[in-house]
Amino acid sequence: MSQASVKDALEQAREHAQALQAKIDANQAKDDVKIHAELEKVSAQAQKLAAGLKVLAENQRADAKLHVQKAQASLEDAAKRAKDALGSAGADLKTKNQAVIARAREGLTHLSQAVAASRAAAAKPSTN
Amino acid sequence: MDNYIAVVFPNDAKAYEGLHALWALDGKGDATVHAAAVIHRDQFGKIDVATKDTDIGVRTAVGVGVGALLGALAGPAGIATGATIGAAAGVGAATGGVIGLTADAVKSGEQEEASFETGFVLNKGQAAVLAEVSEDWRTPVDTTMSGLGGRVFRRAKSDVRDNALFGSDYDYYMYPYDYDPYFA
Repeated sequence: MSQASVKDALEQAREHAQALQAKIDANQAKDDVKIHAELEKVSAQAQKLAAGLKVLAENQRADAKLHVQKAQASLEDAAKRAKDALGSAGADLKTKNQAVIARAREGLTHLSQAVAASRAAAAKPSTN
Repeated sequence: MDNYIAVVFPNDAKAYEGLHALWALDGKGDATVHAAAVIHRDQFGKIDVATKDTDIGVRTAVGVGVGALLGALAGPAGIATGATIGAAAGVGAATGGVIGLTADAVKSGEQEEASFETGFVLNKGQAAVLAEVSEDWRTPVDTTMSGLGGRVFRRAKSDVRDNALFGSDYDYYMYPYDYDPYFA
């Protein structure tokens, strides 16, 4: 895989994580039925994103790789928490939804840091 | 370099443009935006954070987390003179005191506290884009923002001792993606 395509894949993964985060954020003000419906989708999307990151991490430089691996772990946890929250209602559901939001946000933060590290490395003159 | 930035604009509309322009720079790879928000100071001196229009009623006035970020950008001289956090940030005397202390607490060593001052002040009627960014060079952000009438103030992230002190409302207010800002 070329360096350019690796970078593109990382940036695309971040875009997907941003879209997922926007969706989760918008879920806060909804009622239980709508939150449940969204959480099912969120769980599947977060899991899919995390699986993609596992592959993507292998192609990254060390600094970006660590962030991608952390992002993967956070998104896996977000997916698990979203699934677990499906059995909840009322205030408990809102609390669990907040935990999903926090973990997904953590994953996105790590992905942004991975993108920044990748861009910084690309901006530096080659020593070869 | 990882920085906290505040870009001050003369009004809300320009700040909205600034927010979108900042994310556009991210899209081109000229800077990496980790999170950003738009704030403004109204004619009474109160500061609010713009929300997404889907979040109406969910997010409200500046809390201690974003207040601490404002404090970190404004510096100790501004806090000492009361020209920024308590007054210019317009968060009220009691809250301003808390924010001043929090901002003080997040700064690194004493020497730096004494010398640091960005000059960031948000006057009544002005709006600002607050953001956490990674920049390999400053020119793209500076040029783009000045072209929109914005003035950029920076604080290196490494200067801030512990950004965990920004608190949970930092994540709550600072969006990690571009959005259409809305003031309730």
